[in-house]
Amino acid sequence: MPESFQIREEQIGLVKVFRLKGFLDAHTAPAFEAALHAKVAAGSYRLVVDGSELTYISSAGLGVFMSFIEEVREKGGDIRIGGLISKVRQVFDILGFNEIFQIFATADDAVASFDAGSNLAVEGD
Amino acid sequence: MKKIEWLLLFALAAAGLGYVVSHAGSLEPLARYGEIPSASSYEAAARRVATDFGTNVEGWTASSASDRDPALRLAWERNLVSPEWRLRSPYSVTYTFNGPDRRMCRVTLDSTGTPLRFFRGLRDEPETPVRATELESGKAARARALAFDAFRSQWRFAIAALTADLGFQLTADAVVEGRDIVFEWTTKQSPAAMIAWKLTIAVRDDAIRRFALAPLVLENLRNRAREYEDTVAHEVFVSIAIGLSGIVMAFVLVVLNLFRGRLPWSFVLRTGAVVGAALLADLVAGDRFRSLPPDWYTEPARAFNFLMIYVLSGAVATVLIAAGRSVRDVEDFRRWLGVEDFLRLNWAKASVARAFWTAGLVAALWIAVPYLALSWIPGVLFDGVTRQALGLSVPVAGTLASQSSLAVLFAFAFCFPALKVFIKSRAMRGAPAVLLAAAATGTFRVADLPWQAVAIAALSSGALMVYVYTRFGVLASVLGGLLAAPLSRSLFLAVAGDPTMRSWGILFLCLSSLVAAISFVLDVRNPAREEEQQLSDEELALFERERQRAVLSQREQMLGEFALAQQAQERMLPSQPPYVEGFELSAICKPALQVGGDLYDYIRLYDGRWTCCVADVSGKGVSAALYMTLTKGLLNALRLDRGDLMEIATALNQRLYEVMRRRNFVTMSLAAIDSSSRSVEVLRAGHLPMLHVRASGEARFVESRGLGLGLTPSSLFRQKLSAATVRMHTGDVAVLYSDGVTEAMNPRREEFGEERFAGVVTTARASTAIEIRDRVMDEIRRFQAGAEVHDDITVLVIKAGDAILEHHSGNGAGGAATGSGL
Repeated sequence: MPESFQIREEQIGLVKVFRLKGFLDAHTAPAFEAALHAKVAAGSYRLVVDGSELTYISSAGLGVFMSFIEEVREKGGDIRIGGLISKVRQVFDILGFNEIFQIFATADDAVASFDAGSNLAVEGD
Repeated sequence: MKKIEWLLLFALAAAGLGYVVSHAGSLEPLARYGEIPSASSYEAAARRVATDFGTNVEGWTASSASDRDPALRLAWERNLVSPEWRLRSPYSVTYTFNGPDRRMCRVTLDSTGTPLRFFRGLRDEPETPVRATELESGKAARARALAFDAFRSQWRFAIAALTADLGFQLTADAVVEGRDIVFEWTTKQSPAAMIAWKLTIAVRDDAIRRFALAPLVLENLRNRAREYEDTVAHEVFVSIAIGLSGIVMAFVLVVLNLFRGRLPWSFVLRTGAVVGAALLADLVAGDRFRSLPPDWYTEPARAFNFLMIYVLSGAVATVLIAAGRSVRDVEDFRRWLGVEDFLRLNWAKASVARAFWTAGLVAALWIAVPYLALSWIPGVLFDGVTRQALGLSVPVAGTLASQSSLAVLFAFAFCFPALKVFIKSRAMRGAPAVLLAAAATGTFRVADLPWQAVAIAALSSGALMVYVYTRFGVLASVLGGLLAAPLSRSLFLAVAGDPTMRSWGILFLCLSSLVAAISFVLDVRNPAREEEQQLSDEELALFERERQRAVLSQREQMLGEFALAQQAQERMLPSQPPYVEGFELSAICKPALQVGGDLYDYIRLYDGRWTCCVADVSGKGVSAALYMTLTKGLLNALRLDRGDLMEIATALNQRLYEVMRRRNFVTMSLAAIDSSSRSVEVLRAGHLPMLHVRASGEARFVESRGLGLGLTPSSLFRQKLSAATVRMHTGDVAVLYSDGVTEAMNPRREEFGEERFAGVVTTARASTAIEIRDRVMDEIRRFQAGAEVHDDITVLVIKAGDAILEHHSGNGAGGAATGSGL
């Protein structure tokens, strides 16, 4: 069964792009968390998650996004999301992630938003 | 590998390590001298000194020589003076300037460029004896006046360069040497600096012929230094003897057993390799010692080096044994090393290899602690002489460390893993005698040390030997090996007539030697030795079985706790829905794992409205269950004084935001039922929207905004939160549910989905709340068709019944405030 999960990392300009593929659930979330952690610890704060190949996300997967967003924003960066398929997008929206994260139609849009310099102030603290 | 082999291996390794340590402490201090000052760089300084003393050496030829200065050497290597002396080398450099008319001048500088001696006179001046009687009294008085003048004008410069505050004293009247009248001033011996200074001024024919300033090492200091040297030599000898005796004894044992056909040759090779590795480690580390600074032993580097020796030789030995054991792969090696057990302090799991790690660590600590306590800290606090007086000298500490660590090495290698077995051992009969011997040995070894050190060493080596004797009778011979160490020492002491030898020490030594000899003989002659060995094997097996039983029961206990947790969680869910006027309620929660993260509850708000709640804690298992419990508790606490859903949700968010890890959150739907207006106020905090199916069959999901609980601070949460109100007509159905419903999967990994869910409810809408609930669950189960269930499934049905016009109190069967079964 295709319950696998893959992360491909790509550097576009100053932006680090994580291309997720497959199921992001309680079993695979630690891998994603480790990947994000490695980049944040290394000082990359402009992060884009490409979800165009992400077929499923569970609450544990969503939690990974929250683990780093505060730290990244404190450092003046952001985690932006692009290319979510509608089913996954719905999960994000139901939880209210669209109020917390900037979600773009495609990962390229998300990357471009960094280049546009729209380092907009994030609501909340 | 048999136990006996391991034991012998340890004996060898320990002896080797002991040898390493003893040997490391035996380095001759004189080999650690600093650099000889480079002559050329001092010429300018020497010329300046000559000019300052009133001799213009401009144009004079200069020659230099460098040599060891006896006074400097002593002061330097004993570290007996103030810290500034540590900067100096024991070498001095002497410049000789030759001028016209046989005039010459000689300046001696130490390595820092500070003048040590100054001499002004004539080259190759023939010594013409002059009798004192030939001196006229007037001439003597003039000479004295001249010398005083010179002293007054020049000593300040000279002395200031050396020590700031030493007062000079004219020790004797002028002495006539040849044609000179020589005046000598000396400083008092300062308590801190054991070196006095001597200023010599020789006057001849109304002129200063010689002006010399030199350090004067006091006679008692010389004696003290000699004693010190003797002590070093003695301790070195003892240390080496201890190490060697251990090795020799162990090898004798190995060879004996070998010829009895009890040991394979490969073992001998392996043990040889271990000792070789230890010696190699010593060689490497020894070089490091030789390059250490003069006061090396007062530095942490010392302790660090010892630590390195132990760790290094321990590691090398471990790897070598492993290599000889044909380890299959890395995993096998890791298991064999028992690193995990070691880190978890799982002593019960007796792994011989782990003992190496333990021993290395403990021994390193044992090295470091005595050094810190006996050498490094006093080195900072006191000067060398005080340290000597207090007995806090290096060789003593070194011997203590090497000897006690040897004992500890054994103790930790064997005592901890098999302590239980030891207690059960039938061979306890010899224990008291051996304990006495061991304690005596430990005591004697460190007889010239503070009682705390004595006690520690005695206890550790005592414990070791008791164990070795009772557990492995044959190893009483190794015990003999250990006892051979103090024996060799005592022999040496007896021959040398050392005054520190104490009579009770001799007594205990004799006793312990006697016991060792007896136990050795008994052991060798005891025909039941093999049987004892067998018995202890059985005991070991018994021990292992008990351990496994303990592990099993622990596991059962955990499973039991788990079941209890599940029951507790089930009890936390309301057993009955409350009675709500004009509405029917029903709910069910089916956890995927034994304890889950879904929650439903009925709470009564401050304003009297009954409110249904379905919540889902992110993640699974125990942590989710704990957060679920927390959420329920908070919810029930918060509803008491609030009648507003938004306010309750915001307050709940705040509490959860404070306590949860950022990656965890709770989604929740709240539906407050207003019987009088026949409406339901719905609030959705990141949860799936409520399904509303009208009696007519029209189905829709009630949209509203809201973030998950615990994700964001309350200001943002509140800002994004909105509530919706749904009018419930007779026959309308509202369903709160968790994502376990819509995400339930069939074996083809298709999801149950919202449409199917809405369809089931729509079809069943005419039934009672309980029937609707059960229909949904049945459909899901049918859909899953035995596929693995990944998530908790929760369904809560609100069905609007006929409108009841007459008004009664509103409290029905579920009179309890929350309607929960608790």
